[in-house]
Amino acid sequence: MTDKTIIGTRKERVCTVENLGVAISGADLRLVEDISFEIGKGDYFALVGESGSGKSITCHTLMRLLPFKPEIEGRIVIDGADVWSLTPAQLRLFRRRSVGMVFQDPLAALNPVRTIGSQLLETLRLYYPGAGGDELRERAVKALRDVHIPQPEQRLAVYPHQLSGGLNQRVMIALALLGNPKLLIADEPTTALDMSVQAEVLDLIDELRRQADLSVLLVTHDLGIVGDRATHIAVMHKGHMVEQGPAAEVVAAPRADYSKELFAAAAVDWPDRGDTKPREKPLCLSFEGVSKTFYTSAQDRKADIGVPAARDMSFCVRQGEIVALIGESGSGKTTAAKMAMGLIAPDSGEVVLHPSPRNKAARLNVQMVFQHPRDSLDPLMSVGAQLHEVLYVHGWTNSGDRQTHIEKILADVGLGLHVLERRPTFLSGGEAQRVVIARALLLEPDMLIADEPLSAVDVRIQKHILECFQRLRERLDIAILLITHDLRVVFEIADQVVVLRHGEVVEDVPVALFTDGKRQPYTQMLIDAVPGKKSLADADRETQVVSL
Amino acid sequence: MMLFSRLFRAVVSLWLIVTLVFVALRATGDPILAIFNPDDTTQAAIDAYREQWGYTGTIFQQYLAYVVNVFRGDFGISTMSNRDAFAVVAERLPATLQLVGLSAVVMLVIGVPLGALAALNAGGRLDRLVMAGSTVGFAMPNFVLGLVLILVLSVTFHMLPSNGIGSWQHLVMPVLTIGLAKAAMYMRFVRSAVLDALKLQCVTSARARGLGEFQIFLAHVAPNALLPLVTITPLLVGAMVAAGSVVESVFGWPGVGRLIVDSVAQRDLAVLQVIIMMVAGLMIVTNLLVDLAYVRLDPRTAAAREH
Amino acid sequence: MSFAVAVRKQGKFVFDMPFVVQISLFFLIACLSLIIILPFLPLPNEGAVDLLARLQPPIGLGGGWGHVLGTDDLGRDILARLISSLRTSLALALGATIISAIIGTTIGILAAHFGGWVDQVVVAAVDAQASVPFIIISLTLTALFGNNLVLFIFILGLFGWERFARLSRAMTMASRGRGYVLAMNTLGFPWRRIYIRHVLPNIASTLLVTATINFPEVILLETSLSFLGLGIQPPMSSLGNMLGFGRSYLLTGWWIAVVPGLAIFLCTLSVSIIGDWARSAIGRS
Repeated sequence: MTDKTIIGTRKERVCTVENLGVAISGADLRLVEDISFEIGKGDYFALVGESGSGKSITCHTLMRLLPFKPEIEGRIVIDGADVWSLTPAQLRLFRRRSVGMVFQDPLAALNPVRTIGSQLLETLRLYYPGAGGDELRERAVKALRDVHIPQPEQRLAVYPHQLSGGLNQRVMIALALLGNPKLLIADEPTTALDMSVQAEVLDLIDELRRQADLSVLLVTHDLGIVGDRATHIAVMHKGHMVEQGPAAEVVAAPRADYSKELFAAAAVDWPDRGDTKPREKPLCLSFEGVSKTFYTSAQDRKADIGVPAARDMSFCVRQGEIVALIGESGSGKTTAAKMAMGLIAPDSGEVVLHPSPRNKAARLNVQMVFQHPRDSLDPLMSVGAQLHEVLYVHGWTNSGDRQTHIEKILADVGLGLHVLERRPTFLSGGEAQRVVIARALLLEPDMLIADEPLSAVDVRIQKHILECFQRLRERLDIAILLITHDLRVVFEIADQVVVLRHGEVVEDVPVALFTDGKRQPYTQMLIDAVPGKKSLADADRETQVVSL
Repeated sequence: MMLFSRLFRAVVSLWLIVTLVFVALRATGDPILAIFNPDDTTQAAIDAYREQWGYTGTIFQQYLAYVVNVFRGDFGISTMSNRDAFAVVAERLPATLQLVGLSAVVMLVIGVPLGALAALNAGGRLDRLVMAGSTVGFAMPNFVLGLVLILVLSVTFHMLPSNGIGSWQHLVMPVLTIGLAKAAMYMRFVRSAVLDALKLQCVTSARARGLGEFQIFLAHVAPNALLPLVTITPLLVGAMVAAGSVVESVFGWPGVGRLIVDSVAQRDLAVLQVIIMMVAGLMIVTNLLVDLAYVRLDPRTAAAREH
Repeated sequence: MSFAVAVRKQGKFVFDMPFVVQISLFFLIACLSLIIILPFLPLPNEGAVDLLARLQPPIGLGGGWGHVLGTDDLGRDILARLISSLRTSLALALGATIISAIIGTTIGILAAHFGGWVDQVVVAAVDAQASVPFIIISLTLTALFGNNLVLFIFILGLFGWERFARLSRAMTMASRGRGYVLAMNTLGFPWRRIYIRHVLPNIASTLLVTATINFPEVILLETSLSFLGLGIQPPMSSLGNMLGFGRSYLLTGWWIAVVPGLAIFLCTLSVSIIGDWARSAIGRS
C-alpha cells in the first residue's frame, strides 16, 4: 500500500501509520503486522477488535509505551514527528505536546498514594514552569471544571480511591488534555465502568473533541459504543487490520468475512412487540419477600449500617422458562444467585425450590454456571475425568453408563467428543463455558443458574453460548435464570425480564413488553443506554435494525 | 480512635506475653527453685523470697503478684551473677543497640541502592549480579562469615581484634557480619518492591504525560514501593535480634544476645524472663509503629477504617 | 501447570536448566551419595581418637592421603566426621521441613475451609509466630525444658509452619473463590474429596517451592543452635557443633572450622539456587 490516494486531503493529517509491525525483541512472536491507517484533524477513529487482536498494543506503540523491548517495522508519524526516531528528550516533549492517553482502569492509572490535586499540579508544572502555586491551582480547578467535575476546588485534596470510577476517568481525561494535544488515545476507557456511566464519559470525549477539533483514537472491543459516534472504523483481528473506512460504510456494508461475523454477532435484536403468552408452566424457583443485608463487622451489625443486598425481593422462574435477572454492579444479583443455590440464607422471606417428579433431592435440582469457566474447572484434570467424577460421586459405578450419558449431554450442548481428553487450560473460552454447562447438566437438574456467563467471552462466542442455552431449553425443557448486566443478551433469548436495583425488584415483565416505553424510569434509562438504539418508532416497524 | 484500638491491642499482646511467661515458668517446676539454687540459699531465705514474690497462696494470687512485680521491674536475681536480673540485662543493652543500629545502617546503605538499581536494570547484568550476590548472602550462615572474617582479618593479617568491645576496630567485623547478611536479604525485598511499583499503571500513565524519569521515580515509584518495605520492617527487626544472639557469641560482644545464650546454657530463668519480655515488647512496639506509619503512607487504609 | 506435570511433559527438562542449577543439583546428589556410601568408604571411623595425628592439615596444605581433609584436635578424621555431620544435619532439615509442611498446610486449609473464628485464630497465631524471631523461641524452649534430642527435633519441626499455613490458607481461599471448589460443592462432592483430590494437587507445586526455602533455613537454624552448644550434643556430630568446637583452634587448625562452614554454605546455597529456579520455572508455565 505504497501509493495511496487519500480522499479528502484537505483535512490535516494528525496521525499516519504505515505498515506498522511490532514483535517482542528476542521472541519469535509478531504481535501486530502491516497496520496502516490515518487519522485526520477532528476525526473520531474507532479501533475495534476482540481480545488479543493487537489493538491495545497498537495504541501503546503510538506513544512508545510498550512494557517490553520491541522490534518495530514501518513508520508512525504523529503531529509531524516520526515517533520511533525521537530521542528521549524529544519523546518527552512529544508526549507533553502532541498526544494524550486515557487508560482502561482509571483507579489504577492514578497514583493511589497522592492526591488528585498533586498529580494535576505535577503535570501542570511541565507546561508553566515559572508559575506560582496559586496560579497552578487555578489552572487545575479549571481543568477539572472543563470535564464537568462538580466542586472542583474540593476535589483537589481528594485521593483517587475516594472518587467513583466515572469521576476518576474524567480526571484522567483532564490530565491527558492539559497540554492541548492534537490526538487523544483512549484505550478501552469505559470497559471498567458501569453502563450508565459509560455513556456520560463517551459523551464527554465527544464534546471535548468538538470544542477543540481534537482527533480521537478510541480502542474498544465493544462494538456497540462505536457506531453512534465514530467517523472512521478499523477492525483488527489477530494482529492484522482486516478492514477500515468511514464509519457509515463499514457498518452498513462490511467487506471482510471477519467483520461481517463480528457485526452480525453484535447486532441487537429488538424484541417483537407481540402478545404475551400467559405463564402457565409449574413453578421451579420462587423468591418470596426475600431480604438480606451484609454487615462488614459486628459493630456495624449492631448499628444497622449494612449493605442491603436484597430488599423484599419477589419473583419466580417457571419450568422451561429463560428468565433474565438484570442489574448493574451492586444490584444484588449475585447474592440472589447464591441464595437460589442455597449458599446463603436470607434474613427474611423464603427461597423455595419446587422439586419436579424426576428429581429426588431438591437441592441438586438447581445447578450453576459461573462467570469464568476455566476457573470453575480443576486445571489439572482432563475434562473427561472431571465429568466422570461427577457421576461417580453420585453413584454411577459403571463407566460405560457414565460415558454414554456424558456423550449425550455433550451433544446437547453442541460439543465434540474431542474435549474429553483436553485439560481446561487448552480449551477455548467458548468450549470451556460449554463444558461447564455440560457438567451442570449431568445430574439432570430442572434449572440452571448462569451468573454472567458471557462477560468473559468474546462477541462471536457469546452468540454460540446463547444458542446453546436456547437449544437446551428446547431439548430438555430446562429453566434458566440468566444473571447479567447486558441487555442485548436478554433480547436474544429471554422470556421474562427481572430488573434489580440496590436489592429491589424494579421490573418483572415478559420481554415483549420490555421495550414498550411504559417501564419504570430506571429501566428506561438502562434501555436507552444500550448503544446503537434508534428511536422506538423504528423498532415498531419490525425492521431488524443492524445497529452496533 | 483508631490509634486507641491499636494501642489497646498492643497492651493486650504485652499482657498476653507476661501471662505466657508465667505459665511457662510454672510448667517447668517450682520457679523459686529454678531461680535460686537450694544449695546456696538457706531454707529461711527461700521461704522469705517465696513470701516476697507471692509464690504462696492460690495460683491466681501468685499470678497477680507476678504481674505486679513485673511492672515494678522486679524479675528476681540472676543466678549467674547474683544481681538483680533486670539490671543485668539493662547494662548489656547499649552494646547490643550499638551493634544492631549500625548494622541496620549498613543494611540500608547497601541494600536500598543496590536493590533499586537492580530493579531499574531488570534482566540486565547488574540485576543478575545483585541477585547472585543476594542468593550467596542469604545462604551464608552468619557465624561462618564471622569466623572467616576473624580468620582473615584477625588471625592472618592482624588488622582487627577478634574479641570484645572498646574501639571502632572492635565494631567493624561484627557490624559487617550482620549488616552484609541483612543487606543481601533486604536487596531482594527492595528489588521486588521497586519492580512491582514500576509495573503499576500509574507509572505508565505518568510517562504518557511526558514526565521525566527521575520525577516519575520520586513521585510515583518510590512512594508505592515504600509500602511493602515498611510492612516487612518488623520481620527485619526480628531477624536482627536473632542474628545478634549468634554473632555476639562469635565475637565475644558483651551484649544482650550473648546474654541470651549464656542464660540458656546455664538456665538462668530470671534473666531469660527479662529478655523474653524485652524482645516481645520490642516486636509489639515495632508492629504498632509500622501500623501507624502505614496509615500515614497509604491513604487507602485510613479510608477502610472510616464507616 | 504443576511442577510434576512440567517434569513429565518435558523429557529434556534437565538439560534446559541453567548451568548453575545443574551444578547445584549435582552437588546435592554427590552429598547424598557420600552419605549413603559412608560405611563403605575406606575412611577411619569418625570417632576414632588418634592423639598422635592431631591437628593434621588437609591434603595439599601439608597433610597426606591418610586424612584427606585433615584431623581435629583429637586426631579424628575430618572427612569422616564431615560426612556423618552432613547426614545428621540434612536428615534433620528434611524431617523438620516435612513436619512443618504437613502441620502448616493442614492448619491453613482448615482455616480457609471453616472461616469465622477458626480463621481469625489461625491468622492471629500465624502473625504472632511470624513476628517473633524463631531462634528466640527455640532458645526459650531449650532453657525451659532442657537440652535433649527429641525436644530439638520438635523445635525444628515447628520452624516455618506459619509460612506453609499462610500460603496454603491463601491458596485454598483463592481456590474456593475461583469457582471449582464452589462448583464441586454444589455438585454434591464431599469436602474431603474436594480438598484432597482437587485443591491439594493444585497448591502442591507452590508448597514444594516453599519447602525449598524452608529447608536451607532449617539447616541454618540447626547449625546455629548446635554452634552455640544448644543443639546437637556430642557424641552426635552436626555441622554446627563441629564448627563450634573448631572455633578455639582457628590459629592452629583453621580447617576444623572452615570445612564444615563451607559445607553448610554450599548445601544451603545449592538448595536455594534450585528453589529459586523452580519458582521461576513454575511461574513461567
